[in-house]
Amino acid sequence: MTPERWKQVESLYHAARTRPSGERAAFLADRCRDDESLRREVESLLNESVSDEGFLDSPASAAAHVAPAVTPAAMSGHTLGGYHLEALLGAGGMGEVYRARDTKLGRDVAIKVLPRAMTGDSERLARFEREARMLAALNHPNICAIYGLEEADGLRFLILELVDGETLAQKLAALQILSPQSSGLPIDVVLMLARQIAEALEVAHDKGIIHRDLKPANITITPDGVVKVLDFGLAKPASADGAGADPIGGTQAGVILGTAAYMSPQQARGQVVDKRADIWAFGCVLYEMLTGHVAFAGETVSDTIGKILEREPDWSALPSTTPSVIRRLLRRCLAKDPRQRLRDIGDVRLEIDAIDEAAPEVSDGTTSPPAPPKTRTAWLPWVALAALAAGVGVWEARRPVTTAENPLANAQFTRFTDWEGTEEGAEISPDGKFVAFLADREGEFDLWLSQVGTGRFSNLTRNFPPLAASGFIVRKLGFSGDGASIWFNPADGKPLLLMDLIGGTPRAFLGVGANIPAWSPDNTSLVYVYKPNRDDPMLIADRTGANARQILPPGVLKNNNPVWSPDGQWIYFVRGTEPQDEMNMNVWRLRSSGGSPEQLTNQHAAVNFLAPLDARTLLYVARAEDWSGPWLWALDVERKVTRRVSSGVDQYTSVSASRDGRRVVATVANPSASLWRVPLLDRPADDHDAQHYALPVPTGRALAPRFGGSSLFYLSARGTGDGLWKVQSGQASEVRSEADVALYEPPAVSPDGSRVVVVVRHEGKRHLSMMSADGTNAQPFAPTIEVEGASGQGTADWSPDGAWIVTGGRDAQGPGLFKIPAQGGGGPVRLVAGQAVNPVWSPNGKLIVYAGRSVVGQVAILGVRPDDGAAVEMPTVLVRPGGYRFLPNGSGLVYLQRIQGLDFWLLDFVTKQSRQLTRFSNQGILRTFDITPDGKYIVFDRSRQNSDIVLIDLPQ
Amino acid sequence: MAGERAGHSLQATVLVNEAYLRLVEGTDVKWQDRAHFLAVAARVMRRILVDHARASRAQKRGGPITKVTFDEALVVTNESREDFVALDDALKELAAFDERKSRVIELRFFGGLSVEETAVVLKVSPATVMGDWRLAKAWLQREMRGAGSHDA
Repeated sequence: MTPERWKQVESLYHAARTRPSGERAAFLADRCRDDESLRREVESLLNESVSDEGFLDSPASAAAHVAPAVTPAAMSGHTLGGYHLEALLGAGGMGEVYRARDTKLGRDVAIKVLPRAMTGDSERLARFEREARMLAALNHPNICAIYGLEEADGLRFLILELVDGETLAQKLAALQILSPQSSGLPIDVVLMLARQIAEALEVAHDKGIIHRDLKPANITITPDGVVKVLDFGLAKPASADGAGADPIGGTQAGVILGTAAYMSPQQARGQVVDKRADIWAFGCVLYEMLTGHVAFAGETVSDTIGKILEREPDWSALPSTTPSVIRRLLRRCLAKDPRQRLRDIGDVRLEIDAIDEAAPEVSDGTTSPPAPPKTRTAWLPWVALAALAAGVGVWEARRPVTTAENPLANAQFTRFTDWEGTEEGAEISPDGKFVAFLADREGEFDLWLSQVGTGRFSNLTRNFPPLAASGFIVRKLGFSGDGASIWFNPADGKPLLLMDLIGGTPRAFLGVGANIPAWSPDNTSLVYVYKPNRDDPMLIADRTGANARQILPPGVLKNNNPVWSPDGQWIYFVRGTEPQDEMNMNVWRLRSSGGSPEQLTNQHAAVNFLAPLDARTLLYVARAEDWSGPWLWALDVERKVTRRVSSGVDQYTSVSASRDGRRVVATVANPSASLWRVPLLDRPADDHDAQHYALPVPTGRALAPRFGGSSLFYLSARGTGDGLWKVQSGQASEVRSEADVALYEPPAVSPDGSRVVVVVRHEGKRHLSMMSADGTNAQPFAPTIEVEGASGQGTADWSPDGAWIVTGGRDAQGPGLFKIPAQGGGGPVRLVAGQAVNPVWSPNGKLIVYAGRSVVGQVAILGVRPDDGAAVEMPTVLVRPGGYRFLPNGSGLVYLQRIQGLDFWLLDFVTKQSRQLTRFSNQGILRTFDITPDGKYIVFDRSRQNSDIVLIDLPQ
Repeated sequence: MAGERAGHSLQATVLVNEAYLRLVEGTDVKWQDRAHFLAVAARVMRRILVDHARASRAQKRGGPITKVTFDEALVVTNESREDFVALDDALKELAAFDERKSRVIELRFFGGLSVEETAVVLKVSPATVMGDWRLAKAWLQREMRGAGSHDA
């Protein structure tokens, strides 16, 4: 099949399908008069019955959808009592669970409808009610809350907290399918989850409540990493005094295996159940999180029970990173004799905390005491943030996992740079005295150099064209063997440049197609990769690059990143398929005198930055098999064993070692957002014209800038919640901090800067709230309107006289654009009926620009006259939803538009013409912007990986 | 579930990166950026599932991928290993003369992207995506059955 022929097939196929099926044969016969095989091809494709329920129609997802394998409930869409059931979330032995809306209180809840069989049995019901009341008294962030037990339409139902997130069972199942050989969750995640589960059990046990059915399916993890334990004490409404009342087999389909696997020996024998049954189940869950496998699994129920009673779990399956404290804890939880079992789940919390305290400290500088944790929260992804939220002690950011053969155990970590923005590819000179790296500190990526210990940095390429930063992790610079020069890659397709440390003009080095050179330890030769086409032979040349000879011929697999072993006998390199985001790279080695290459790792992941520490150990950066990372790994070259040596908190994007292997430099990344400013010029501004917008209080996350009066407002994250900050007269202050309410949209600031309207999100709905500019007197504003519009964009604006607020959304009568008096005196006035969102009010008060709903990508702007709601015709301009602001003098509208990249444009109202204001190439997610009051600059936020460079000194 | 997005089908492979997106943009990620991100994830997913299928096919034949020892609410992929391998082979063949359709299948089947998200990633209209999806499914179905034509 050729592409040309296929095009014929395709157009005939689609054309034939538009005809009634009876006419198709004739149609094809006519069109394919001279080509019988074409007709047969199209017909055979037409004959394929393409349904919507075939193999390809459900995504190849290995994770569980909560939608169960049972037929969808008949109850979705019905109303039960004061609750409107919206969707079925799951079904279990205890009934069906729905997402529902509490119409009285206006909140989303989960409703568990109990089977009719239960409602008839009054004794069961009474016992059940008693337990529900006890549970209602449990108030803990790790326990799914019960709001009530009600009855309607002959059905009893529980009203529960609606928890967002996947269950632990779903997460473990996903992991098991995707990486069956590897162990379960990373140890720090396990400890963080285990601590929360244990705390939930502790609180319940203190109140005399036993869960009785703890299992991964009953443990949900919210997107923020908060554990919610569900179904406390409700699984067995029959009293705990005999398994006979509630046979293991169960009468509900599918309850069988899952429940049996977590039963304690006592439960299995039908003996009295006390809190130690929960402790047993906890042990099973902990085992499963660590290993990815169920502790006691059998083909049938009796097999499983047999294992529970007779056999120990496979202790050898525990990952080697498991602390011995945890191993002991596991054995005690899973002691078959209840008198030997751990008695108090509270001990689990204490033991986990003790692990945390025992780990080594990290210093933040060679001379000063550790810096206050102001930027620590900016470092931590959801795992550790959630731990913060739950009040758990957090693993210090840069502390590697300490195991017996971790080469970085006892190493000293020092933060080398603390800049906002991105650093990349840090390299250390062979003598360990200089560090070079790429950084965008001055707007575009440049090559920076610093001497260790001086705290001074110099930009080596300030006067050169910007260097290209890439999203892929690949070595782009390095030191020459004598440490006197640096090579770097200015852009693809250009030759490498070599620049002396003492300055001077960089000169072309090695010719086009050569990359990643590495000098031998004795400085006589260098090895590099040569890629004129798509082949990558490795070449060795003398130290100036002359007399090159090939030591590895080109082939199917690509070679990359060669480095020398300390004795100069071997060359280690990365080999695999390209491009970098394919999961098939490994570390190999080759004799420097030539020969066959030998594979050293079986990692099959994105591998790069090989840094030999000594004859036996190689550090490198790689993603894990599940694509997490990238992390720092160590390879024992002799035993061909790899081990991850960074904790699961920091991502490592480069590593490089000095020649003696005692000093290592690494780039550590974490995501952040910062503010930038770019001037409005006569020509399109480029990356070079954009600069960081410095804030008085540095923050890891600054978003949504808004000017008003003489102040700048912006949103900033402080770990668990978001805050609204204000900068005035060079001082920054936090106006508002919302711990449990998210702030994402930029605030709407009154023209005199005295009041602020924010969008407050709660349980999925957005509403307005007004407060003074110092955060006091916060009141709900226009509560009847549910705000709509592009998420994270401005959703409300003030009139220039400060008398009105305009916003888009919906009220009880339906969607529309509304203007509301800013200070009492009347309700919302509907300016536009129908969907209208993200309005901005012109500085002369006579025009409001807004958008209708966006379908794909961009929207057209619309206009309306605020006085009477008359439509104002606007030039046809496509904009990013919510991405437009008036110039302060009202002469035009600045907007964001994506053509090739996302850029700022200006719609001039006088000429009705648009012109391009910026031509950015920089990466990062640009979300919102505003114009400075003098009309000279656009200030915008940009979210990116923030990175810092870390120096690691190993003991001698 | 009404309106449930492809987001719930993200697996452990992309959990950390999804968390990164959430951290940076809040829970309402611009769905266009998410679409581009999922497009990369789709390629990764395909590789992982296919490699796993090929590797295990070498060891055992048939049977479900995992024993059902979890809660019944779990839907574990029932597709046998054979199907993933056959699909991958067929997709490579398709890509030889129509890269876009192969990509549509990859994005929608391996990445779980919706029609709109696929349209954004491939820069075509949703109608084109639907047309591609239909024809590609027909072709793949036929090929995987072994009833392919010998049209060169």
